[in-house]
Amino acid sequence: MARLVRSTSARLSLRFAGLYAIVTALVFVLTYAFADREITDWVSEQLVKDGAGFVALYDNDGLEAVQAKLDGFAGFNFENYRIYLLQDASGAVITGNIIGIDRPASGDYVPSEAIQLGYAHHDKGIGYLLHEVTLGPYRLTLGTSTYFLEELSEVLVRGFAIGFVLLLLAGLTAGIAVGRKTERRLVAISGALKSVATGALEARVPVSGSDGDDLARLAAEINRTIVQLQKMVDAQTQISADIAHDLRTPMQRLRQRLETMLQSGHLPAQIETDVQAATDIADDLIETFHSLLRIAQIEAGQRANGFAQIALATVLARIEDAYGAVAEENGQMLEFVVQDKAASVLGDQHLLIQMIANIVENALRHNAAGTRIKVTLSRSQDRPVIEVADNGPGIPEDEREKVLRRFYRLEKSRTTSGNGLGLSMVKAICDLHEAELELHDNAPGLAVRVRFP
Amino acid sequence: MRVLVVEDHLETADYILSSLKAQGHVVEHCDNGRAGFLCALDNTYDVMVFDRMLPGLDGLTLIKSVRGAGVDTPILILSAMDGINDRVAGLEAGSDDYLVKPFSFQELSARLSALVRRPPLKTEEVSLQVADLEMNLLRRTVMRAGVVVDLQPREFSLLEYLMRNSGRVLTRTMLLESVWDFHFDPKTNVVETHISRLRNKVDKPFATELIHTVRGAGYSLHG
Repeated sequence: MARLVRSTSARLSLRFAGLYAIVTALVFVLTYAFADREITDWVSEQLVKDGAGFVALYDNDGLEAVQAKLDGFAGFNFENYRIYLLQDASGAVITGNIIGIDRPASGDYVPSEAIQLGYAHHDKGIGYLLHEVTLGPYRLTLGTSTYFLEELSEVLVRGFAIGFVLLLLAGLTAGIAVGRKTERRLVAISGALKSVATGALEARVPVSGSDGDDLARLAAEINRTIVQLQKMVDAQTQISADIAHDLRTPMQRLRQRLETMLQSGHLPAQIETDVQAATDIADDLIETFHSLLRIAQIEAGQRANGFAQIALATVLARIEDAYGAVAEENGQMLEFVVQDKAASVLGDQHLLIQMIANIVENALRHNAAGTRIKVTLSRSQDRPVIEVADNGPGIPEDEREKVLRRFYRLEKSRTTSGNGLGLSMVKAICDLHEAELELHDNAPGLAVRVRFP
Repeated sequence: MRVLVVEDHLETADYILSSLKAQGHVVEHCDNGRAGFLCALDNTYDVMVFDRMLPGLDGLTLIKSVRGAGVDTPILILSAMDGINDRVAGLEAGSDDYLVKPFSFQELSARLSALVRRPPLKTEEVSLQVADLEMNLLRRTVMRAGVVVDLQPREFSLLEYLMRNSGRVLTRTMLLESVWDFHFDPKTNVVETHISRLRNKVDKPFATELIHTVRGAGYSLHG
């Protein structure tokens, strides 16, 4: 749900609901003001017209006729909807349905308190619109209650409130429905992109519906991009394969020639030494070539297909088997601490062994006799961690990132053998296993940490 | 031994053929998969070398066809592709070993020799013997000239592999793969260190050497 609220369409629909609310309120205010004015005008006109009618009646038929008509009206009076008051010049009431008015200083509106009914008011808060006409010596006051205005506003408020709630609900429902559908399609898109990121370039985004909406167009565009990417990668792979093949053959021939020379057994001693040295160089070249291709393959993620659950303690046992003796010969202490015996990861055993072997070999080769190297398998934040820590000279902080680059070698290690591909290989294997590779200061020394997922 | 080489790259084929012949082996050569398949059906070879990429019938299909025809002669695949997955695919198809080009002839020769089947040992293999060196596989003990030799587990595995292949040359790569399950080239002298330790225990205290260094190739254990 939280995910849904964060989704673009849900946020959009909420924003629209908010906008609807503001517009609705504005329409309400305008409608009310307009209706109020129109109705007030209409009532005032009515009063003026009635007043003129009474004037005409008085002029034609005299006071009695007016009085009779007023009494008749009063008989129909309903909750003081209309009020009549006929007074003589002294202000004495001749007839009407009220007994007096506190006239307003100005304007033609009085609150109902100003009307003296002669009995209790029951429509508090309602006022009257008044109109006065003079019939000879008499004064006739006509009034109409404004309660319908209050009622109108009540009806309007209720209507708008209900409408607003319905609008909000409809907006939210539509937003959530659209959000869900969009979310599903976005999940499909991001799923396909994730596959592509892991090297599965045959993955495609499902292009849902033929309606060609924005998401369908986006999906089609992404698919075109992936196809293009695949073409480029294929072309690059083909070029690499061609180069690899074209280089491999001369390297094979070079090695063969040197080997044939050595095997002939007729070489003078000095030349034999040189040929042997040349063979070793050819072997280094071939080894570097193999390593580069291997790193490229691992980076391409090809090997993830054959992953199995691998016990990390077993990997460390292999390393201990191989390098315990080497460290002893070097006068170094290689120590293994397995804190989490059960730790296992989904991976490739050969590559995991190679990765830890490379890290341990770096520690063995770049540290002097007497160095202590500790390999620890532990669990941190519920993730298996292998750490190889030494107390040697370490790597300066600004160089730590660089050593992961291909062919990068620290100044001081240029004298030792190696092609500078070891840590690149480690990094590639880490990435393949979605593990994080960290280089830390072991104060003193270097700690290389592999954090598995 | 009799070797069938199926390789379309003539220069490589020539190199393999002449080197094998120089060692006194009988070699036949086919330059395409179909001819290779027909030759393999003769079933008279001790070991066969197939290139991974062949015209007519590719290496993997060739292996499957040969195995499908009931020929169980050991097969080594040569590949120009540095196939990490290829290796697995090759072994799954029914090959016995895998070598990536460029390779040294010594590596190829050592691997081919190791592939040639030996007559099975009498009884269930409970012990191995080379000259005066005896290994009891059940009790995991080693004696030389009646004296107990105390070995670490990995030294024992290394010696067992050397004894099982006594008389054959075993390269550094073969030892790394078989004894340590290392499928890469270590930058430290893992093999040399262990061989040296093994020698200190198995050879040094005695009159004759059993573990021999074969220059430019590897090691061999023999009397």
